[in-house]
Amino acid sequence: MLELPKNRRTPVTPQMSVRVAILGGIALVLFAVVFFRLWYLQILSGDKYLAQANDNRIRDVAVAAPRGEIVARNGTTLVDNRVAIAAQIEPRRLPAEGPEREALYRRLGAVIKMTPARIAEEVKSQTAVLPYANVTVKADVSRSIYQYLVERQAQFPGVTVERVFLRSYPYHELAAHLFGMVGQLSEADQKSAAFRGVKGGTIVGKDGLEYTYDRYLRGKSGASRIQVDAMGRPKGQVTVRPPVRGQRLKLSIDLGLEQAGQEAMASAGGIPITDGVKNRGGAFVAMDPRNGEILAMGSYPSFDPNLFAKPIETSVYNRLNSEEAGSPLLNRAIASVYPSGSTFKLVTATAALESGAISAGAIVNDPGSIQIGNITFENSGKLANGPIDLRTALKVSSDVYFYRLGAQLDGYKGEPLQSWASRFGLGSRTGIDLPGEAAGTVPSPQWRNDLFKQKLTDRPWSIGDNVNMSVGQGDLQVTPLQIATAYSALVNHGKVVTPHVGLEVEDSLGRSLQRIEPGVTRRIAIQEGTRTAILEGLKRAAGEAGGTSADVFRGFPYTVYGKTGTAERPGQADQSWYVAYVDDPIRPIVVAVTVEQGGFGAETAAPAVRLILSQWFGVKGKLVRGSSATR
Amino acid sequence: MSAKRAGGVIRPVRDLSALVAPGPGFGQRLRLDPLLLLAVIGLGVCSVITVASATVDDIPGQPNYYLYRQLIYFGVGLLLMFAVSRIDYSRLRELKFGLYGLMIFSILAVLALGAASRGSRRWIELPLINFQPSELGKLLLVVALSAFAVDRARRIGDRDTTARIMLLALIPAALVMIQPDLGTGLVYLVIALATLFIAGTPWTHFAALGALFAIAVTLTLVVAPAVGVEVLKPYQVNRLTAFLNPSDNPANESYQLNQSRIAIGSGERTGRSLRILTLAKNLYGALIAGGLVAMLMFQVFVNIGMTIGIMPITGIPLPLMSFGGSSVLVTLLAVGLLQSIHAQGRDSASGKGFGSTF
Repeated sequence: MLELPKNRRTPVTPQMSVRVAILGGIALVLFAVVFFRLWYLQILSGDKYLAQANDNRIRDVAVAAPRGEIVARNGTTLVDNRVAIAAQIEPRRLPAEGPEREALYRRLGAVIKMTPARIAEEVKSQTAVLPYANVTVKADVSRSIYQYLVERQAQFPGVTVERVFLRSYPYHELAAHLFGMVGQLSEADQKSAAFRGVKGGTIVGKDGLEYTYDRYLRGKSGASRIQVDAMGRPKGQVTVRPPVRGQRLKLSIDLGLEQAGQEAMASAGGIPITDGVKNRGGAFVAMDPRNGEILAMGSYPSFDPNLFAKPIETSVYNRLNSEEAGSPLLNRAIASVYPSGSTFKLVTATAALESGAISAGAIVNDPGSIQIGNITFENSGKLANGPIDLRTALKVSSDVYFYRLGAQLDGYKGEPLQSWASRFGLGSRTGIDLPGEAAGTVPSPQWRNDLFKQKLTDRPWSIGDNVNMSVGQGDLQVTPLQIATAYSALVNHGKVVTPHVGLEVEDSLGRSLQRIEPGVTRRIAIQEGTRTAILEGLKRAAGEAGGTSADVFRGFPYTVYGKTGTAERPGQADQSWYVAYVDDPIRPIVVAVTVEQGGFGAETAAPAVRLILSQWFGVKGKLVRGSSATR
Repeated sequence: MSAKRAGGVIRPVRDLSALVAPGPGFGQRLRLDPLLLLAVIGLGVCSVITVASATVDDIPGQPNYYLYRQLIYFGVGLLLMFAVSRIDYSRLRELKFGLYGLMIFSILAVLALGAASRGSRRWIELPLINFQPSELGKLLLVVALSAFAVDRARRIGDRDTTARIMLLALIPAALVMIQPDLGTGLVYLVIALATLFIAGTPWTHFAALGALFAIAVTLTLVVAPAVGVEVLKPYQVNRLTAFLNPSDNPANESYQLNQSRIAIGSGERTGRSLRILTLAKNLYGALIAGGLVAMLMFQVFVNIGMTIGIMPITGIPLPLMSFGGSSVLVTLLAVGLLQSIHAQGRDSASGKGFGSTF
């Protein structure tokens, strides 16, 4: 299209040529300015921006370490890790609040099947706790969703998919109450001593064994350096420091015994017995009396902790917390306090014998009831046991015998009943390696009178309080674990063990790294005569005709020392208790079971204990309900 | 020649088809400047790609919503461009009052019934397109203003002429600024200045205009806020003043490379347009070409300038790059006009001898 100058003919005057030239000049200058600016940005400031750009481009990312496994005594894995893909939101990279973000939530919600409102809610609540961490909107997405999101990162600004480790519980409901949950370390928790130096957002134990042994289980987060482009899309990854898997925690829990305990609770207590009560909550504790190792511990009803591995539906969570469903999340073995019923007679007997209020051989007449002050205290069903000594009183669980002791010990110097209760560990935490333990209550004159002064109760202490306490009633509140610990102390000649579930810390191959030492062991001075007299009574109760649980243990090949308990609780059916000791030289065991609204001790708790002991000693289990209607 | 001029000035043209230059039957095949066409198409392709990738997430489920729209705009725009390039632009002079009136009317219509978007009223919602009259107004202003300037070509040195032309531009500029659309208003002023400049207005007038402008700026930015009158909205002031203290944004390399490519493409177009200016068969063509060049140049400079931090941020679309029906159509119309000027300039140069209307 070039033409020769002679062909060109324009109306351009000389003046206009100058002007056009000037216009061209201006255009040239303007574009020159633009190019200079670009040159300046690119070349002159290149180094500066290169550094900044590199800053933007390289992101250090913590790589979660898999938490250590939790295994049973025999090495069977109880808590494992499962690799899952989590859809996460990086709040900093989200589009600004407004229609754009809403559109993103809608798109994401359609993919991961969540309502946009729920996503917004998760982002809001999780950033409130952990302002700088990624928000996990869905902890476990399918492979196809993962690929969908990875391939369309541009469409989902601020959304990332991460490989995460989720806890998995292959035995589902088994021992669920022991493990506790894991979750991201919140800013508030970061300040606590347990998590000093741990980065916010790291997955840590929030409860249960996961919390207690977090420093072993946690492992060490690795670091990787991710190269991202200007849009924040990952381009490549360099692992700077590989994550270190957490150590393995071996529990003292015997898998078979734990299963037996759970089944026993279901079969002995879970089935409707006579009334219409459907869910008889309860707990069992099996312990090695010599060292406090918990061989089995459980709370009924249980739940499947797998539900908590990913964000749980509110409705499910509410149901797990509801009383109608039996409050499955509650660990009744350590966190529920109940009157202990006649299982407390161990303490009353010890207190009376040690304080000299009575001798083991002293005969007391039990006419079925006793008048103390102006109140008549009765045996269950006004059953008269006649003249009995301590051993027989324990065997038949005579309330009148112990009422007398309670009345007698009231006002005694040093309050032997209260002080022996405390020495056996009642009224204070046992120190088990699980958070959330309840201390319970040992009522004393001072305790009640203080309450009365603060107008929190309607009357001061009276002798009736001591009488009620002597049979484990009244204001006494204990946990099943405390009862197991107290009986262990007796059989141990006064050594009060600290119960514990954690046994050993091992490496991932199962080599022992560290034995978990339970806390200090207390000693209480129990005379041998006292011990043998009480044990004799307990042996007769479980093994001699007429004993409260003798029919339950009929045919059981091991000698059982057992005590029934039937706790009266206002407004509901009696609570069944049973605590047993088997004096095996190799495998001694103390088992305590309680069943809420389970009726008499021999009715539900003792049969459950028989089932548990059967498992422990390899005997064929048999559900035998006792007929004793004693407390 | 004089008869033609008389007819050209006075005869009212009601039939728009009369504007269309005779086709190949007239003996001349259509001549488009190939380089300008190439630049336009190149920029168009860039624009479509950029728009497609930038807006893929904007409407859920319709990733290509904006892409298709932009493609349609370009398609229609190119057709319009070819159509306009065949128009005898000289006849537009006869329509100057109508065009000017149409511009004022449409801008007023926006103020009356326009759709508000993010605080501004700039659009009229039509079935297929949100029509932005101020965009079309740029083109109409170039055409009308050039016509007025040609009418007073002999008295171009008069203060009166300069004042009138400036006034003719200031009215729509003010109306557009009310919308508020400061950037487009500035484009109108630039068009007026360019038209005056090409038409030959004395330097002294420009100096006076410059002084007036400086006073106006001082009044709006310094004096008015001091006495509590808000002429510019706070965001406008912020944008205007913020760039005076630039914090260098480390925009990434590819982004800047893109900007460079656009600058090169736009520079190419500006160069071609200036060449067309010199090719024009008459003063009117030269003035239109000059006005359009200034318009496109200003827009490109401001838009790229703002992205690289040397100009304040305004809503001026980058011709042919930004998404938007009005902008794309108007820019292609403008290119069509330039092509028309080019084709006819070449026709008259090679065929009929001196074809000026003077």
